Amino acid sequence: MFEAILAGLAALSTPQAVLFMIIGVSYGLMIGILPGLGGIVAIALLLPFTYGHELAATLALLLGAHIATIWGSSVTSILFNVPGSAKSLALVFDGHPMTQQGHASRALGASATAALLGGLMGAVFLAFSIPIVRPLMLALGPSEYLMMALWGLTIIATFSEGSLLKGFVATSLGIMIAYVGMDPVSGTPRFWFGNVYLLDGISFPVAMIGLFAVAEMIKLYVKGGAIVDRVPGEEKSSVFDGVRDALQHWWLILRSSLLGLWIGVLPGVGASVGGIAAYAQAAQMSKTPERFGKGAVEGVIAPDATLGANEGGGLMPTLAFGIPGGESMAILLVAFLSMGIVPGPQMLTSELDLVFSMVWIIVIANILTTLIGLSIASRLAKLPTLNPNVMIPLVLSVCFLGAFATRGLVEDVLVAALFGVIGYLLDKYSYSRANFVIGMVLADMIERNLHISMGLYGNLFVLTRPITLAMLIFIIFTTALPLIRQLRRQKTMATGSVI
Amino acid sequence: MSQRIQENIVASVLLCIFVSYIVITLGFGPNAQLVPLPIASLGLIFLVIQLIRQNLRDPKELQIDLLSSLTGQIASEHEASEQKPTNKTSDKFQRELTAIAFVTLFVGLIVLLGPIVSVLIFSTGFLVSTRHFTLGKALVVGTGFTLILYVLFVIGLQLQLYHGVLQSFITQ
Repeated sequence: MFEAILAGLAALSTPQAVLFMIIGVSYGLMIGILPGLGGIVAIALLLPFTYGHELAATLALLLGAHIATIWGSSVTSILFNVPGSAKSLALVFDGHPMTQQGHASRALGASATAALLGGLMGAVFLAFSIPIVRPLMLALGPSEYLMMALWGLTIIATFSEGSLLKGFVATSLGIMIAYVGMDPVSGTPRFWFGNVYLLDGISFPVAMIGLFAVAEMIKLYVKGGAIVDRVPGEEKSSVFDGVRDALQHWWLILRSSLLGLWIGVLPGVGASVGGIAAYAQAAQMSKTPERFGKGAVEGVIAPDATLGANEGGGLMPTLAFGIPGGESMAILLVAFLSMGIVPGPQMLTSELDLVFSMVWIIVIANILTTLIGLSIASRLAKLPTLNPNVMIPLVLSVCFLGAFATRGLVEDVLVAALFGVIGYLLDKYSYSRANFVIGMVLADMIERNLHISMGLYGNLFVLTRPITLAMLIFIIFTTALPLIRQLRRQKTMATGSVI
Repeated sequence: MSQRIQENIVASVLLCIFVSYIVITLGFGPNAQLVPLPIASLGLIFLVIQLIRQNLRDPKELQIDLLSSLTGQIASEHEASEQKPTNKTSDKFQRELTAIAFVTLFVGLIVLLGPIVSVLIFSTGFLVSTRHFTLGKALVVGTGFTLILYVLFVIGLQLQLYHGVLQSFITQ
């Protein structure tokens, strides 16, 4: 284990890895600060650049960018009252009032420090969870992995934003799309309509570029007008006041980070829920809850610590079981798969140094983000305007060139555009894109493990494998519970309205 | 067009996709249809229930989600769009069509001329058409951006460029 920790760090000390880390973090900050472009878009746009480089360096680029977008998105919420992404919505409640009161730099300082401390806790958690999870993973067989994938799908749909039924429909659609092309088990070509291009299946990175980046650009255009237009006021405090605030509220950071870890580990409970939950617990446990919503620095610290810690928590099920914690983890999983990194037992045995490289990347990227963030915070506080008209053609160009670059096929550009429109419509009508993507990612795992289980243990393997059966009962229970609760709530409401 | 009609159109399109998928899947061997068939069937069942529910529920409940219930933002927007479906909705629909037209135009340009030339034409054209920059300034920004992408993708990633359908016509 100790050798793997050192090997993980050594892999990041090459010039390419250092350069990629700096590029990733700077790019992530830039993308995060632009409203509407969160970590998902940042990774989607980086997918074409993941081929042909050192593995650790490419991971530094991807994870570094992803981590930097977390604080970048917080900046937009605090300064412009526009959440950089759904997960940083909670930062609007107190972050923007602080900006209006002339404490933008202080809010940014507190936010960056909280995100750093939360991120470090996430990294420590990931490192310590590996020896605990490893024996458990090695004891599981293909039928248990099948159940875990099914649990991942159902729990994701259950916790997804919007209608539960729509969540399930989106998940089914994602799985269906993943089965376009040659069946890896029976060798049957499926849903190819005589088109050789479709025989290879839909490229996941191309679909991600379309679903998230192109769709976000369509959304931005439809929304219209300037994203942000404000007159910066005079600053009454400094970045270091914010750093001091964060350090003084160390107990709040610890609590919020633990919450972030827990939410990250649970598949499907996205960081957007985490930010709000952290804000709620900070307000509930505060001695002066009446200050919340009016510029309380705790309202900035709690969500950022949770969001920072969430990444380490989310990486654990993604790497160990191949079950992504949310949509950003699903895209990271797509990137891992395209780089030849296969999550599962192998990841925590023969590729342990790679896992520790990721732990180190979380640590280094968080420190780098905070250092850059603190040094530019006072300048950011004076940022007056952001206009989408410049952003749209530039991001669309990167999207389509990126889609083309993944395999050098012009058909991929068409697919990215098509998925862009699909992504826009899914989002507009609340069919969760996260569920769609996670369905796509888990489809192969489900099919492979089902065939292997049937081959190894027979068609009735669910009944002959006690752990598998117990897991199936657990899946049915966790899927049915929210439905029953919802029905009960509706019944109670109906009874209440009659009375 | 009201929210309910829009939701019904989307659900109907999805219904057609699910049914077609199931019909095609039935033509595969037992191994190849083992997972896609039950998944598509389940999806179809969920969709039918959704379709029934969304036609029985209050229109205001159609787009409630976690964030909107916390902020009340989408719900109020939704109420507004239910009350005044004329101007705002048609304006938004027009913008949606324009956005999709822009995307289609860009993809069309790429197919015809290849990606690099298309980036120059599209980015310059977009900046001018949205009246954000004058033609001269847009041309400078567009050219600069195209050059950056050229360095990044063609020199950095050593991407084999596609020169578009038009080139083969010209060379013939």
